[in-house]
Amino acid sequence: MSNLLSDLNQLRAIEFVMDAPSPSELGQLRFNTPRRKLQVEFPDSDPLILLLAHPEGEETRLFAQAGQAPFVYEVERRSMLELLNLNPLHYRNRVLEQLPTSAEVIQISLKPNDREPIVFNLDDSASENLNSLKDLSPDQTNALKILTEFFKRFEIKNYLSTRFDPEGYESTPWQVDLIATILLPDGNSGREITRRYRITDRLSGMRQIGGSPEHDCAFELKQELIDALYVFLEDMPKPPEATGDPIETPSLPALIQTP
Amino acid sequence: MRWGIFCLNLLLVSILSFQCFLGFCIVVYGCIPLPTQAINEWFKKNPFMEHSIEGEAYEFSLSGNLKIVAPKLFKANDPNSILEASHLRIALQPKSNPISKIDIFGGTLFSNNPEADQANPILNEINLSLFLHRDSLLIDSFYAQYQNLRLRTTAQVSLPALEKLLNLKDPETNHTDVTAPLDPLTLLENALQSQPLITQSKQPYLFLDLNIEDATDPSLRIQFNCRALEDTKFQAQRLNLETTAELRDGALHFTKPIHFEVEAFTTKDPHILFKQCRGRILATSLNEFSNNGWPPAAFHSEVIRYEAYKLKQATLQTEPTSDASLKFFGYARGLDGMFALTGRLLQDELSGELEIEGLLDPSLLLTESLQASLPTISSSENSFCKFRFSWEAGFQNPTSDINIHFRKTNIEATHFDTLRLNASHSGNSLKVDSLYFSRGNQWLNLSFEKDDAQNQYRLETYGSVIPKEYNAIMPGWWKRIFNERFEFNSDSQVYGDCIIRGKNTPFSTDLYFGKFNVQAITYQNVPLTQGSLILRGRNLYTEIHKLDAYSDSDWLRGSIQFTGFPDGILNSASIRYDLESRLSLSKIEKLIPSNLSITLESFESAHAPLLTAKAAYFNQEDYPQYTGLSYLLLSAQSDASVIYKGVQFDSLNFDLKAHRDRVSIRDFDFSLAGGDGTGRIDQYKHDSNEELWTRLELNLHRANYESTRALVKQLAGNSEKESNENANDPEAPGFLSANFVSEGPANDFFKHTGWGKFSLDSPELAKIQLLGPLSMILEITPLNFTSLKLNQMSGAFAIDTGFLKFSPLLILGPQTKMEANGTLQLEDQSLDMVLGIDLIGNVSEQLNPFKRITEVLNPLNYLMQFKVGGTLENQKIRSIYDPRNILSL
Repeated sequence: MSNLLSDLNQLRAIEFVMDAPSPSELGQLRFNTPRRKLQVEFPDSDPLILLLAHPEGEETRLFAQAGQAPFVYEVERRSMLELLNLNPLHYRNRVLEQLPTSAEVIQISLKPNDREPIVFNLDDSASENLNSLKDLSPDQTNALKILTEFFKRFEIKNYLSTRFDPEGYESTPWQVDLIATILLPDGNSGREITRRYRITDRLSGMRQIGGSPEHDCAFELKQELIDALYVFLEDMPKPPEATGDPIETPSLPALIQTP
Repeated sequence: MRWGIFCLNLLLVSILSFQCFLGFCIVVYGCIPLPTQAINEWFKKNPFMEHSIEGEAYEFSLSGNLKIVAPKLFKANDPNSILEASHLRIALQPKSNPISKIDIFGGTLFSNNPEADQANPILNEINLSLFLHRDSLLIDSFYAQYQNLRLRTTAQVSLPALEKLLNLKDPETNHTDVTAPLDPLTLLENALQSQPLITQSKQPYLFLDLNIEDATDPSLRIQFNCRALEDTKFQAQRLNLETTAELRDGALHFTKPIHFEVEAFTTKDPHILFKQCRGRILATSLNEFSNNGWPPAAFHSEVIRYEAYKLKQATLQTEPTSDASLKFFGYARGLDGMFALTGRLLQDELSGELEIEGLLDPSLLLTESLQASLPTISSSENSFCKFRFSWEAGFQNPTSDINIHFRKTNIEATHFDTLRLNASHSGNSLKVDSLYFSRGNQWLNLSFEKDDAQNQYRLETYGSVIPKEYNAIMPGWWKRIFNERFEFNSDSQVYGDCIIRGKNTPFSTDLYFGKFNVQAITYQNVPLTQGSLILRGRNLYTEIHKLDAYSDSDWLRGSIQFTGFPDGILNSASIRYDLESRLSLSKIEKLIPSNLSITLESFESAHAPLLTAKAAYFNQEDYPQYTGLSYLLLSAQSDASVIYKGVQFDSLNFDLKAHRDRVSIRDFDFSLAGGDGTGRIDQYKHDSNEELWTRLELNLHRANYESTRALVKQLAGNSEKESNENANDPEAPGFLSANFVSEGPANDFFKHTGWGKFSLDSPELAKIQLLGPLSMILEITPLNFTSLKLNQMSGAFAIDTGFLKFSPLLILGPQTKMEANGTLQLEDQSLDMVLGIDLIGNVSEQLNPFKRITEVLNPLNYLMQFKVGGTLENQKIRSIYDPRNILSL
């Protein structure tokens, strides 16, 4: 919402169209049935109303009328309609969970469907079958730190659905379980809780979908989390010439026997 | 009486003598010298306002002027003089106030410091005229020099005020008047010594007009100018200042703004030049001019220049703030537009902020070198710009926030409807929060962050653009990708996103990952209905991953890997393909390189074969260590008909392996002319002469003979119209089965060697082309062989340097047996065979108990021996035993 207000504050017209439009001209531009109507309420002054409209069949331009001013100006269509998103999920609180600052993430697990699980014990009591934090590269250390911070404050990019489907989001299946064991302060000993999110493969540079059975929703991951997950889940095996390994070539069948 | 006369005479003589002496003195010296000692003693005993004078000589002129030579002015009880001069002239008048004017020439004013052993001069070369007018002391034509300062002053001081100024005690109460100003000498000395205007200026000139009506409220008009003023922080040329002030509590209190005018004013760090600047400073005292503050001011400058940037007609106001910073705001012309300026400056630590907002041409903010390295940006109208700059102490660590909204802008020849940039920069990082543009239906959003402290950068972008339309402004690699092979139309769409991560120094691209979706584009004249791919990689390794493209009902899927090394070689060291497609041959022909497409030109198919290819191509020219590692694994399946050089294969499947100098085709199966075929093919370089060599193994089972024969003729390039009515008749009876193995030069099958065998089953074998002429012979014999039945032909053959050697070729009927031995030359199809006919030779011995007898007695066994020559199409047959009977058919 703060972004919306900030962006609204920076709205600029790209063209002044009419100084004093007549009612019929406003009707032609369909300001009587505007495409968007934005009303901003103030505690001690009249509300500010922004109307956005475009003529019938004119899908490339967008016109605006603001406040009590009669004039009509043109605004940039795409960014304006994107700014005034009509999807209520767009305005929903995007922090799924905020843990107390004293909460401690003690274990993070990444369990891909098609690979061995990756488990990090963050209290540095890793057993032999767990990845030792000391062996992590700087990128991995940084990525693990980001994962840890996300579990303390799990913020998403945007919501896709208010329902969690155990199979996946639409036709995209979940591929990875992202699980954390968290120690919450509770008395002398504390209390362990587990958080589990289901993640799809990375779908593009900036898109990866997650789901939460607990919060019953599907969402897009923030870029920082996508990048951090990719450090551990990258499935881009390089050919041997790129890694310096011996290059294998196909065996050819025996030559045809001729007289 | 006599004593009286004597005394009178003596008096007269004395007077005369005195007059003569005076006359002598006047004639000789021009004045009458007065007794110095006595006068000095008198002045000492009768101080004026606690001041006394001591002169080296006193001279009185007839004009009524008293001249004191080398006078010294002392303050009471102070052994050091406060004023010395070459001479002092007092104009006397016979009135109640005998002194009308005092002139001082060549004077020096010393500091009033009783503790000092030696007085310090404050002012030199003092010349002044001082006279009384009514109750005021007037100072006219005061001139003095302080160091390099030329000082001129006029003053009007009321006598009570002067007395109060000079006397620290209230005459009524005889107590110290705390409201009285300090000692004027001290005041003057402090004022002069503390002013950088004087100490740091070149040829300074100060004019003071002092008006003291009341000692508590003396007013002062001040004019100051200098040719130059040099400070550690600034420099001014031809500076003029003018103001009025009051002297209170020993300090100047300005009663009017300080008006100033300066021809050029330059700050040193940062180097900012103000030209033809004039304005006013709303200061109330000099104390406001300090490192911690600056009084409110307003000024106009015709030109402000900072580095390559030039502002014109700038009008600015400054205001001090509660946090000891200086706030300024105003407006200016420049950068081809007009804009407002606001800012804040902390003078003590030289830090601050500057904000510019207005309509201007932001490209002019770029340096010339940067402009030269960037594409030309032009706009039909000015852009809205909002810049915010800030500096830390010492004008270090500059940071900036940039917000530009371009409208109708061209970058080179590429037009943009809207282009918005939100960026920020600090010493170690550059961050583009958003670079957004729209262009018709196209749009793109990009963010970029470069952090030198972390030595990393990150770029994220998404949008929908037609890439080819940006070739003019994009780098060479972009143009090489989106060249003429791509065609876009009004329905085309390319949507995608991409992230790039890397290091700044040395520059590297550690990770990039993007997905691109296309719709309605054409690539190498192949229409792509829709498609998507993921482009990802690290450093010089790149993958086209999950390629999924559709061309109507045809499709192509798979991945391509490009491996390169940081060695300056632009071409990839290797390219690996893992592709699967169902593309029509015509589309494949357009997509693959032209040298390969020539091969495909011989093929035709209305249906798209299923092709699976795994291949690795190594750039062995640049990387010889990879020589011989390239390979291709290709699997082709076509269940529909494929036409090769006019020969229709009803189905065609094979697996191909190519590696080093060898190509092997296995699992080669096909349907041809109603029959089934299998085969194997090897092609390689022959060890002995590096010639391309082929080994073939082909098997054909029960193919329609007529069709097969026509197809073989077509394959051989002989496509003349068949005269035989059965040619190309798939319904014509006759089944051909054959298999052969051969090897030889790949480009010359006639030089192959090998072996094979074939069989042909047909109820109308006698009518077939091969036996057609012979059938005619048989028909015209008196033996009436028209009822001769032939239904099977078979034989083994050897292939040897262009010849098929039959050994033998058997043509069989229910009773008849024909046996041919000889050769068929493959290249010209010429025959050299001997054909023997045994009319009942195929009757089994059980049915022909006289077989052995007839073998001996039947003369036809000897008579029906024929020499077959000519060509396969134009056979020449003659009887071996009747050379005269030459039949040319």
